[in-house]
Amino acid sequence: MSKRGRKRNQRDRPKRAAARSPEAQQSKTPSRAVVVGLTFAALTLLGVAVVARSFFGATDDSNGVAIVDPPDPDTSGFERFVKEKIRDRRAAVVADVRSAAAWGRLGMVFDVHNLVEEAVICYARAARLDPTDFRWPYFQASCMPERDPADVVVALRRARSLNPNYVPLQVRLGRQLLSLGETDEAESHFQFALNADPNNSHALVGLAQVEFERRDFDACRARLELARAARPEHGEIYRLLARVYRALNMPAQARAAAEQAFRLPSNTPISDPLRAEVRAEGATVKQLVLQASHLRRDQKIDQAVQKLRQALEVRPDNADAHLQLGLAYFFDLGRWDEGLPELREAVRLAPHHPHARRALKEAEQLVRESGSRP
Amino acid sequence: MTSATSGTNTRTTRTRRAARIAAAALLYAGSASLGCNESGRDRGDANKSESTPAEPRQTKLFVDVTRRVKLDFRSACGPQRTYFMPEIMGSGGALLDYDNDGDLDIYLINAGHPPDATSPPAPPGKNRLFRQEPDHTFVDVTDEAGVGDTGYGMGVAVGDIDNDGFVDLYVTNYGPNVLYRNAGDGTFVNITEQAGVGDEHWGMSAAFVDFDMDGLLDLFVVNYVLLDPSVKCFSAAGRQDYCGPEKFPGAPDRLYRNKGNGLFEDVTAASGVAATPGRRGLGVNCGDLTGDGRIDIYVANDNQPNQLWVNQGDGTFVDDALLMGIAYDHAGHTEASMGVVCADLDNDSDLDLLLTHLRGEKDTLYRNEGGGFFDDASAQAGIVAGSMRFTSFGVAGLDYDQDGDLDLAIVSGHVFRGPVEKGANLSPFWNDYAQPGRLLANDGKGRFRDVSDQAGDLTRVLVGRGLAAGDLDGDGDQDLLITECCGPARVFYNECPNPGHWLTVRAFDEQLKRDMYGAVVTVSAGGRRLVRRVNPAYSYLSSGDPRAHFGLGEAERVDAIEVAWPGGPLERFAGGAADRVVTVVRGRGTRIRE
Repeated sequence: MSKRGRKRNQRDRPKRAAARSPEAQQSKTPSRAVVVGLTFAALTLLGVAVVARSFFGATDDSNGVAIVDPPDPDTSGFERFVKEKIRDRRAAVVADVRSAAAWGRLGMVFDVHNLVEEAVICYARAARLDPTDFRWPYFQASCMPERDPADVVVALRRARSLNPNYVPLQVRLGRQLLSLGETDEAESHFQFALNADPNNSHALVGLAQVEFERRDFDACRARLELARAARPEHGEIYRLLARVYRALNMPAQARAAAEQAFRLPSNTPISDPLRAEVRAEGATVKQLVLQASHLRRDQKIDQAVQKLRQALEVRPDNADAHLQLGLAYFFDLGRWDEGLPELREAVRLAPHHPHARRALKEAEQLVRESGSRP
Repeated sequence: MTSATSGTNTRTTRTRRAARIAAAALLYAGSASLGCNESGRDRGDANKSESTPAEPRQTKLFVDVTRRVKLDFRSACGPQRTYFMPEIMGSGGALLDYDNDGDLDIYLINAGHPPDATSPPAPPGKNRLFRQEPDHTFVDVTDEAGVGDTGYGMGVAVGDIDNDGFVDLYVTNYGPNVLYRNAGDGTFVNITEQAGVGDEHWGMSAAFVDFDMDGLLDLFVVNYVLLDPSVKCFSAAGRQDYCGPEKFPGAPDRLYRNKGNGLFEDVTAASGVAATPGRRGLGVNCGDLTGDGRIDIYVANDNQPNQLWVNQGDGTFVDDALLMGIAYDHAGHTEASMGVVCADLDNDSDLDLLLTHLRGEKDTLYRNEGGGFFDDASAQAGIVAGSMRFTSFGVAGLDYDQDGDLDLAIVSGHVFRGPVEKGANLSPFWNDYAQPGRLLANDGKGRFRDVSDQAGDLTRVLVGRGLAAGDLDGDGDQDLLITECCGPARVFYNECPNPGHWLTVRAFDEQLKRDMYGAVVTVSAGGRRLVRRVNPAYSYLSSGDPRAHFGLGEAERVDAIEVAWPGGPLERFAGGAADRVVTVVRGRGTRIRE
């Protein structure tokens, strides 16, 4: 039902109510004062309703959730598939404004394309329509890094109350609390995550940070050494370990840990299957290429090729898309005739692209050594 | 021995100020609290009862006087939508007394146009020097001074490289940097080539620092990335926008040793600074962060670990930022560090660090815990929540209300399109990048409260980049110079209605004929010991007033001034009355430590 239609229905309701009680109207002849009083009261209520409506929007009768139009951001300059995806998901919401899933899925599209304000609105709406689905407050919390961490904590706590067993949520909540200096509560969330996943290096690092804050350097060191054994490629471990070793007057170990810290990526991502679902909604060329790369890694080559073809429809000059397509055809599918031109195109477009150059070199060497066929 | 420095204008201003303070004292008799915020509220209440009950007077701590002082400068840029990356990084400015007439002049760096820009045809951006006149207006003296470099300008450092008593200028560019030697007669000479400091990388902030204590100012230059201008970048939704740094490798920083006679030697490799590859540097600040008496160099890097080049005392440096806890935030993550302040932010007499960051990251306060250990104390400082939505650059630690602690003035503006802020009134294009400035008041123990609602024009929504603090109008308090992307430079006077008493200290070496960068000045007054550092190179792409400014609160007298000279003795000087500028001269105090 359209917004306008609902408004009309609401306006009609008092009339229908009056029509249902003609006897009551005939059985008593109210005094003039009562009529005036009732009229005044009705007008007052109407006024209150109008004011409330202007503040809170129209109200759906069934569950008290305000009905609003989904966000409609300016998409000029956006890539074609992004525009289409936003348009389609918006249409799904308009078609069923009480569908939490529709709102949530629109939120995911906004979220992955960094339309944060719009995403937050959609997730909040989805959460109100279906207060039992923890994904919506969780996504809402995860997509608003520029907000006050205290607000993020509120959303994460709400999500946790619905599903305390989702480990990435517990880790994120612990981290947010730590950033606010709430070490005791942060500790409980890291501990919960660790109980569920004893090798979770993020939970181990979080607990080590709590211990570092408390100047319990021995416990912190032991915890980090455990984390290092569980996940040696986790850079944050070495950053804290270097400081702990220094605090414990172990300069050689501190230097070694520092050197290792610099060699590793600055931010170790949390393995989070739900957030991966959000990322999969990405529709820009860059995101399609990234998704294709993951699909190739998972041996879903046909799907990867499809994504890359989509990407090249939008940006035929994208070297990364040609490279990935070349890799998929040449190395994954053994279709050398199709793969080699893609790799050559990638190098033509980006002559200094190290991965493209290396892939082309390898491919050409294989062709030379094996003839024209794999 | 101290010598009071005061011109006629300063005296007049001071008299007016004293009268104002006296009137305020009468008006608020019985109130023990000093400070702009409280007094501002009081004044509003007083007005309410006497004159305009419906409109209490709004405290406006900083007032834009750009037109009044006739500072006519607008940074060149564009054409719009070319998304030339240096454009969004902005350009800075400096407060300096180039003609030694006792007031602060202004040098402004001009950006320019993309190298391949053909339309619309426009002259290249030219840096400009503005001389301050006795009536506090500014006159453009660029051409007669010969400092109108037309390179794609970024930052500036100020220092007297040849100890002739006149400050010289180093300009960083997207392209070859430039060194101007001040001839002392109102003109400058470009000595870049002979000096050997024309580094061609994309330069950002720079600082003069006498790292080897030979009396000659050396030079540290922070470089950003090896930009490929042909690379186009897009937002997460595929809309073209400015590139972020991760697209490009970092450019190596440079350390030049001053050999005298206007000659410098590139000691980047010999000093150990080349030990790590370029880390996309943006800000720099020099100070003794290890407490060993030697000056170290802290570099703020964009989404790369920050560096602290710890001075080993033999001409070499080792990066110990990670071990000291100032390379990564509390979680062990890099942040996109832009501007940096190195000062005593919690009044415990040692140097702390404050860094500004990208939207989605907090401002970070690294608190000095002593012994070379620092903690990310941003949460305890109360600066996390209020900073997350800002992409902040220029920052100054200044005591705007002169209550005896360093507050923070910060300017901001997105580097990628962001939500349009309420009050944004630039062009439609730049409105997407504009953000308001902020003012944070220190409670004296290093905990900050956002008082931006009283900050007046500082909160104007613009694409803020450079920021420098100094006493521009000679009334004793700290004013601000602000630069923006593709916009005007602005001067904001500090109009705090009821500030505390103050003292400004110039730490001077008569033999070297210059301010002693790196000197640590301690003032004892009203039962407190306040520590400030002589250092104009802080913030982002900018250079501030080199004198140490102290807010004294209610103290009308200073008991003593102590100066720890770099590489030299600790000397004590006599105190005296507050509310004046004093010059302390090396060697004329009482030695209390060698």
